[in-house]
Amino acid sequence: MLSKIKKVIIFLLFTFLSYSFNHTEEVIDRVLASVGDEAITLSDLKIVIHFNIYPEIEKKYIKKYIERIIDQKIVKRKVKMSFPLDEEIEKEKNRLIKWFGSEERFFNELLKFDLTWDDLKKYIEEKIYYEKIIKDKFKFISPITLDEIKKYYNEVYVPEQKKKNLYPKSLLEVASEIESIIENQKRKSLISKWLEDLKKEENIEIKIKDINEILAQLKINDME
Amino acid sequence: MKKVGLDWMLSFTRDFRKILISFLFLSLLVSSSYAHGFTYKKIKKIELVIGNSKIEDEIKKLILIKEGDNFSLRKVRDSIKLIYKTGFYSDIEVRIKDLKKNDEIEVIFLLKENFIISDIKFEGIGSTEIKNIEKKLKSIQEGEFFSESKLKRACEEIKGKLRERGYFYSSVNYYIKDIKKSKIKIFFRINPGKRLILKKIIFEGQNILSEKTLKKIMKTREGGVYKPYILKEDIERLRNLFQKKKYYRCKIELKEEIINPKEGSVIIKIGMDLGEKIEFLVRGAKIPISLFIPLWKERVFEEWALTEGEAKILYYLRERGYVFASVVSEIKKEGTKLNIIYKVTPGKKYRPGEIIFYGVKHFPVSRLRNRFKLRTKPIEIWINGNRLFNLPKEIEDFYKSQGFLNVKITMNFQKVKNKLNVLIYINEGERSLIKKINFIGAKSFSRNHLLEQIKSFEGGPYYEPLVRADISRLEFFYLNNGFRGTDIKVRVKKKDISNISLDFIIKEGERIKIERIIIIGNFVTRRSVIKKELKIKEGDFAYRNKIIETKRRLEALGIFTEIKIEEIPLGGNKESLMIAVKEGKQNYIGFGLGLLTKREPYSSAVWNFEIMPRVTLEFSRNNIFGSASLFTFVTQIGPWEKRGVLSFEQPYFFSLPFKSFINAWIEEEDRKSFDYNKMGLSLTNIKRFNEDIILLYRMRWTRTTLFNLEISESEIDKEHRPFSTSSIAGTIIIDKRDDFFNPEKGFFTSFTSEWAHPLLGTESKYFKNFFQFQNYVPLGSRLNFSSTVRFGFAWGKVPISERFFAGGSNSFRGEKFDELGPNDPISLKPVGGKALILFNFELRFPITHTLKNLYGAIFYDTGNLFPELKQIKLRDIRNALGFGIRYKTPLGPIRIDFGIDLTRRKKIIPYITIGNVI
Repeated sequence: MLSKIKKVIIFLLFTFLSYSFNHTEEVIDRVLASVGDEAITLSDLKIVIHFNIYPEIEKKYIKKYIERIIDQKIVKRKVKMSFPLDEEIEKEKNRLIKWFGSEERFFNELLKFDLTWDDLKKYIEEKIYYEKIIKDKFKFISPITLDEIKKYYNEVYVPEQKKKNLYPKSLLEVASEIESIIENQKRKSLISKWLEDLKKEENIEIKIKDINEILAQLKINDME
Repeated sequence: MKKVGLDWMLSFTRDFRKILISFLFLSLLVSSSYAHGFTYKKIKKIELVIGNSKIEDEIKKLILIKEGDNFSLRKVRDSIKLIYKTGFYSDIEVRIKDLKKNDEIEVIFLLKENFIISDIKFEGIGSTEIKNIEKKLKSIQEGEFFSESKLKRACEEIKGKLRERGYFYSSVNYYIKDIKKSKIKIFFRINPGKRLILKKIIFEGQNILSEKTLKKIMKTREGGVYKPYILKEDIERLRNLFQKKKYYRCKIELKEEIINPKEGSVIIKIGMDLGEKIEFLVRGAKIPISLFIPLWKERVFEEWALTEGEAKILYYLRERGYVFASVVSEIKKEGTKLNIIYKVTPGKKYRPGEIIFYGVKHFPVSRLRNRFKLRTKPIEIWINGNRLFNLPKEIEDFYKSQGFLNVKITMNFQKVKNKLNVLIYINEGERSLIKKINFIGAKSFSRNHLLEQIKSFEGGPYYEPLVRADISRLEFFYLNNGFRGTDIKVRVKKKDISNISLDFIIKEGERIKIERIIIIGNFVTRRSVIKKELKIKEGDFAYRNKIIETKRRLEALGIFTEIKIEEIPLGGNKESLMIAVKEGKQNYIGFGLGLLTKREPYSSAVWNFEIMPRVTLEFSRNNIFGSASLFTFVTQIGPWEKRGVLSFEQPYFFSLPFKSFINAWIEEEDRKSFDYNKMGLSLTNIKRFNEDIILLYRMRWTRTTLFNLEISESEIDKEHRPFSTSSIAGTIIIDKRDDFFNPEKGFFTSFTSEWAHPLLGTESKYFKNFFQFQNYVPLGSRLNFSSTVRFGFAWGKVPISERFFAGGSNSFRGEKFDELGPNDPISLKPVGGKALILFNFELRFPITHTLKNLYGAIFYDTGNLFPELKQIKLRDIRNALGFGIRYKTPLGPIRIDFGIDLTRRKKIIPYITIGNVI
């Protein structure tokens, strides 16, 4: 008797749970951030992650993706230039096809996200435009001085090598490598400052209060 | 029993846990595929929710998915972006509910309403400080949409502004109050904190002037409250001081603020890097050094500054007729002193002679003269030598635009005593001509239709910039006919120089139809008011020019602070047009104080209080009843006049496109020969045909009471007072002046005809016409000639308050205000007239090159005012001559004139006015 009652209660509980679980509302899309009146949505984020638009950013750094999309939109709004992008777009397309394994697989993935190639092209265009502007604007930076190289050698390179229990090479041997590192750092710093100045003139909103919420939504949607 | 119950519970809990875990796993499995699984699901229902309330229908139109459609993630994403773009929603979320039946789902759009900032208030500081902050606050303003990030930026900005005013420890918080559904008030609660006392000022880097001298110039004082914004002004003063001492490149800045929070004090260090002392020596001519001082104020390449200085000197001299001036410059350094030496050879000063062209074959010389405004005998006071040196380039550009791509122009001079003839040699070369124009790929329009859109033509000149402009013209043509995505390129085929063919390669885009027009943001304004301004309707093609015209018409209503029109592609050659409006403030209160003078100013005018104040108060409420109507109440009170006017303005008159005004007024005015009280009611309709032509129609009823009459009763033309007048009038205005307040070119003309007829117990019966024409002609070298003609004729019994009056700074500058024309034989006060003839001529000329807004003028006024038309006699025409000074301001020139009546030889009368003669 007791076992029968147990079964009935479990059955009723199961039915109730299955009903409530299967009739809950799920967030399919939402605004994550905005630049002026232009919204950046959850589906935008999914697309750029799934299609590996920014291979240099690791998937777990959601904030970096959003920041990158914001930077691109700011540059597109503030810097108006006209140059052909067809060649670079074609290169990107080939890279993505290779990444997915085959052209068929690539187009299937597009279908899954209810995208056409023209839809995905917009994301790629924005990325290439941004990269071109940055490359053009920060092509030349002030030359790296010997003092800067020495400082980096003494304060960064040597201690790093010692931490790894490696014998540090001489300044002469690593000078050009250090010069390159400092140049990149300087360039990054200039780019960052320039973007910060551009952002001051725009109204940027980030709607996400909790990054984990977004991570959860991305996981539930089975991001690879 | 208990033990059995407990065992049962434990076993039940274990089983339940197993079921729950299995169930969760299954659910995750099911939901993990939803992004792709939902694509084939049918949408049974779409729900839109703002909080707990339902949403307006217009927003629903922005949702691109429809009930009955298959779900589309792309359309959901595009819908979110569209709704967000309107600006009315700060957050949007889309949820899906799988109905688990027939593969159906429910889609829910959750919108969080955005608020408009209706008011910003400050608490915690004095009104002066509030005004200072309010004026300069950029990060947040009334009428904008609210956002958290704006608030945070605003708090930082306010703190920054407070810091400038010496509040280093301020704190700024805010709270928000909802007024209505979509508008909020923001209150910034400010705690300014303590200010700092300036303990000491330390100067570093100079020893030219003593610290005592420097501190004397500054308003920032040791021992006083430290205010960075005053220090900023002080630094500017110090900079000016050292620049006056010829340290033009001095750098003065605040280097350090050493704050002692415990003491509440600060020590400031001001760094001074004076640079070299710069002396300018100009030999050979008198040149103001103010010309090149600005070049040396920045730390620039010295060679560049020297060359620029030479160019400025040459420009200066050539303007004055020294066409062959030359300059050589050098720098000499003497310790910390820099000597800039200019050796000038001005050459001879020449008067303009003739301009002679050689080699002109294709155009008549007169065409070149007219094109470049080259007069052989100009009325010029100064020869503009600079223009001469630019002439060859101007002529070359003209020839090239006419297809002479290889033209060569050289200029020479011929000195004839103190006159300079200019010889221009033109080697035209061959002319490039377009033989054929083709339009490849154009399917929607005929060749002739496309040819009409471009400036290039077969047989005409080939000029590359013109062809590029033609591409833009064609692109606009396609846009204005509803096409989007049209791509146009041009291919030029040159067989030989006079056989060029142009192939416009056109890739026509899609011709888009407007399926739907969505209007949002009109919380007060009626939808019908907005719809009336639309030049485009649902079902039309997306004519770009009509969309732009729609925006212009909406802006002209004057009730919106922002209008956004977006084209939303729907696919399949269709789009929606979204019109998002932001309504402006409705209430306005204004206060004005001015000076009024009716009498001519004499040297003691001010002491005799002839200039009196006039106060104006104004209240208006815009967009009444959401109909874009404007209600205004204005009152003006002065010693000689009082006036109160109520007016109701609306953009339409019974659905007709005529702006209409209903005015009711009461006024009292003191005139020379009578005073009057008047009240009236009028209806005026205005129709603007284009930028230049306006038609006015007015119906008016007035009731006038005359008193303090200094004229005989018979002049009143009425037997009883007060008397009523009812009239209708029509006016046409054509205004082609280049500027309303300071015209230099163009003309203005108007004609008014008024017919007063006894209606509804009124006593008036007259017919009055007034015509005026004013023309402005620039003569070069900042000379300007203007002429004004005025005719006024009236028949019938015209009450004195409706007659023509003339005399004074705006009509006849040989008589006092209103005193031209017939006078009462006993009191000798003006009685006005029914026939007016007036001509005014004025030549305006520049007085000095440095003050560009200062002019001199000589004028000649002629005409008269006659009692009746039949009493017009040429011998009674009066003449006045005079001269004056004008100073141009944004509201028109301030005029000081001195005129004398040549006919009656009265004394010179001075006039002060603002505005032109009209």
